[in-house]
Amino acid sequence: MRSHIGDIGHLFTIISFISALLGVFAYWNASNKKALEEQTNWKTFARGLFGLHAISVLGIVVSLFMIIKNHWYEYHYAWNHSSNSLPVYYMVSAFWEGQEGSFLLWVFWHAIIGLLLLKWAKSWEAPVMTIFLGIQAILVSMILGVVIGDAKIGSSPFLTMAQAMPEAPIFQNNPDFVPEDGTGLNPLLQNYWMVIHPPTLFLGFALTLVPFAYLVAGLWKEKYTEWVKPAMNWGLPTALILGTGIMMGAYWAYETLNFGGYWNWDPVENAVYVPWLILVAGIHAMMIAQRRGTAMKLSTLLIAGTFFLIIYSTYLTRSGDLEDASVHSFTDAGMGLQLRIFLLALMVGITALIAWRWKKLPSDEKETETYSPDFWVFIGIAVIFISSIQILAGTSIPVFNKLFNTHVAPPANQVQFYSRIQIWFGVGFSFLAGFGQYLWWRGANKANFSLLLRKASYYGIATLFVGFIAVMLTNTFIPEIGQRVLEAGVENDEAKSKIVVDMLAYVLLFAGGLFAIISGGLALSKLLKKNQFKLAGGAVAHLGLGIMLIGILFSAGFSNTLSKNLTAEVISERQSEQFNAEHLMLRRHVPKRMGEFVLRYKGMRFEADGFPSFIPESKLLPLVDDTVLAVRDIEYEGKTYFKRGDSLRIFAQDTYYEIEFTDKNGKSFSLFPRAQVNDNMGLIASPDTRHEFNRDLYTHVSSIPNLKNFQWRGADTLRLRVGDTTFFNDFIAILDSVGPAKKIPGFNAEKTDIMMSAHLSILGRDTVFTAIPSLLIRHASTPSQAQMFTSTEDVPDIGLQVKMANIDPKTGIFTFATRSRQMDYVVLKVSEKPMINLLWTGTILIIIGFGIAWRRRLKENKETLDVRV
Amino acid sequence: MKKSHIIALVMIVVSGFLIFNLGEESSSYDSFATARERAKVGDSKSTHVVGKLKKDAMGEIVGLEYNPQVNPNLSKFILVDTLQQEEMVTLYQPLPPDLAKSDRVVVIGKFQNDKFIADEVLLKCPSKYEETEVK
Repeated sequence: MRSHIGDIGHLFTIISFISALLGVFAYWNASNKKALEEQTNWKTFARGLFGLHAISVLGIVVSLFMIIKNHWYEYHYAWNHSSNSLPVYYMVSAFWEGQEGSFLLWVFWHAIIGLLLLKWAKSWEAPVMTIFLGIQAILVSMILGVVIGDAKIGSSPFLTMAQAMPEAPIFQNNPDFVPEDGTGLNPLLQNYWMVIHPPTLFLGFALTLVPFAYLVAGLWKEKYTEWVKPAMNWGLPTALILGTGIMMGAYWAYETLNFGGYWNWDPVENAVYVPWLILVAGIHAMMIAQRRGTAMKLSTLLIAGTFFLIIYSTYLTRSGDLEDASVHSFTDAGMGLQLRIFLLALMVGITALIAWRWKKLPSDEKETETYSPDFWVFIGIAVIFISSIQILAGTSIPVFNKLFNTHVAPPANQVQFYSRIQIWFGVGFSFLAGFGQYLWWRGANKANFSLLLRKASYYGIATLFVGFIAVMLTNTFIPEIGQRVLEAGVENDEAKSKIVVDMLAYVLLFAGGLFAIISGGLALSKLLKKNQFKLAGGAVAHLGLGIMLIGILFSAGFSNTLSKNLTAEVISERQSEQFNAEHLMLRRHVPKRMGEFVLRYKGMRFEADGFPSFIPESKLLPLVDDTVLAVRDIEYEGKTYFKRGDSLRIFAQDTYYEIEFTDKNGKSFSLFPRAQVNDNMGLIASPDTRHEFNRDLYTHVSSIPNLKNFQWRGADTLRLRVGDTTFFNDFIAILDSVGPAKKIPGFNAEKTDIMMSAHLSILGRDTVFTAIPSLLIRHASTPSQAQMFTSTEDVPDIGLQVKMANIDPKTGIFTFATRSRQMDYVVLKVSEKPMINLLWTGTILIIIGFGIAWRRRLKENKETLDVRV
Repeated sequence: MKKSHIIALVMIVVSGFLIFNLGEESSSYDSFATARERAKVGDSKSTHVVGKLKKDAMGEIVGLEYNPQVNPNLSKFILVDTLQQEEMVTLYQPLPPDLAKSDRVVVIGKFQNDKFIADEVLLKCPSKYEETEVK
């Protein structure tokens, strides 16, 4: 099995490719033949081919997963993405960490969706599946790994090590060499969100093909309006799932990465956000198309644009063309050329098809009246479109460079560049969402429009007023903005005017958000009263949008670095240095004031399998790899999990740094930011976040000392009697007791051994640390053979090491050897994200809104779905 | 003039402004020499300089300076740009912990008082996908 599985997987890939191609041919015939009997025959044949295709896709997935699950490291994919110590649930992530695996995931979702189409598409099946399988065949070709002449088509995930790295010397000597262990999964991806985020996102990717396939089938079969209903039925869940996937990614970034937020306007993020935006615009257009039979051309363009942008985003992130511009895009895995050809062909194909049918698409006979809610939906679509253009143009700079051989760099401050412009689109979205909803539920018409406009503007003015107050109050509480003025230099007029513009945008965004909430809320309550909750999708989603935008405004706009500017020095000559001082150093157990808190670094912590909490490093003695020795009992809530002397396995790659925050009332809590030391990537810091009702406290370590550079020095010898007090490295220490020990961690005692332990209390600033140095005497009865072993006791909290060197039974004096070293420290950054819960609440409401709308369309469109093609 | 024409016109104007803004805000790839020239003529825009860390004959990285016990918000390193010109880069942040691991470094910043002050450091670490060593 093991030596053939790669070939089996590869064979499945080839079968799935060929069956998809044949399927295209068969479905093409099924939809083009005149005679009904021929149609049916071809369709049956095509369905059989699709069944074969689906089974072989499953076969590819199973083969690859077996390779990963069984640690068969002769296969490059397993070696490159997994390792022996990787837990099973992360093997799922290892599956799609690579280019090939993520294409496979996408292909897999297509196979599942294809089965649903077979069940639901009815008369649309043949033309829709022709398109669907055509695209599917192209995607499968990305992982085909077949060489024809000089050209390599696709990159197979089933390469053996020797095939993947023919250059490596070890394979030139011994092609059958199998590595002992894999290189492991990128530690940043070892997070539960990374188990569910990629499948969700790729399901969203895969779903965008369905509305597109209906559109193309509609154009092809001259069903210029009928395609909209099924496309709407599929478009709503697509937007729901793609949006959820994007926000899961944002949440993952917020929880795991240390750039300090949830959205970084990175090309990888932009590349999926823009297609989603265009899809949402398309859903709005199709809504009008379904209601009035107008906006057909617009719907066509937007749905075609969505799918094109999905492929464009695939090209951007996977062809390697963006390598310089993005921190986390893929490098070219050898499918760059294929992707470029696919993109180009798709662009030409879509344009040609639409151009060919353009004249036949129904035009809107007269213009939509200003008083109609639809008019405002059109304006909203226009705003979405321009917003997308800005993001897309900025993200495509590397592509322009390639095309025109220029060397333009992306904006120096990416986040500011996008945020400062996109905030205005947010203002537009929120006011339009609110106004559109308002006109809709009030049933706007020619007669009442001016009245409604007047009423809405009262709301508008009220929200502006509230927005102004809210932003000014926040400015007073969070002086970040004022600092920005100083930072730029008060003299600088340009900087000042920039800040004024920003503040104006903040006020407007708050007002717009509030406006959308009010109008969405009013619409919702009206619908609930009339018992028409099924129509509330739009109201709920737009209400959510308002809440989300306010959440973004506060959590990003008023994100506040708490660890900033701790020194009392105000503006000095070193102004820019002072204002850039965002990180603070905490020495172990030395409290430091930071605004409302006193911070204390309490030491390193580890996690062990089966233990519900963190274990302080002072209770552990490293042995080999992940195995450590407990030098104290390890307890949690009264239950002892490990006894002194037990050996246990910890997750050694993750070190947590306990930072205690004590507020003015003396209440304290701890945060545990994490650092991983990885051979390939150096130190990887992940934040820890305290979620409060009205804000998050977010902290990550930005630098840790290399403890190997901390030399033990200051060797000293102390002679003490029980009860004596002395000084250890500036700390007061008391020898409490010395007595026989039952067990010494790390020693395999024999029956005749004599074991002694001393108990030392060392008084820290406000904590008492203990040291239990021990000693073992073997063959004590025969002095000539007697051997003495001592255990070294580390007290990392005060940087001390102590050993019991000798016992003098006559005098009762115990000799201890001590050494000390520099105290360790961490450098960290702490920031506050006000009102971030509004962002997540708004997100969930938008998702629910899509869900309600989907349910409604499914019900309403059900009867009318089966249109003869 | 129809409403749709007005809307189209507004869309074109706004898009044009955004493209113009992109041109204004976009940065450039420079060598240290051209970046210094820019600063001299009063250009206050930040620029991108691509380079590698300076290494000694043994291949060890030299010139990394970060002493958090003195100032956790100041670090310095020496970057050799693509024209082989060396320059000390000052960063008012902790030294990026994976700096020493990266084979290519992009600093975004500008010269101020003849010192190159970086606002941001982008690291291109040897990708996992290009792993060539087998243990």
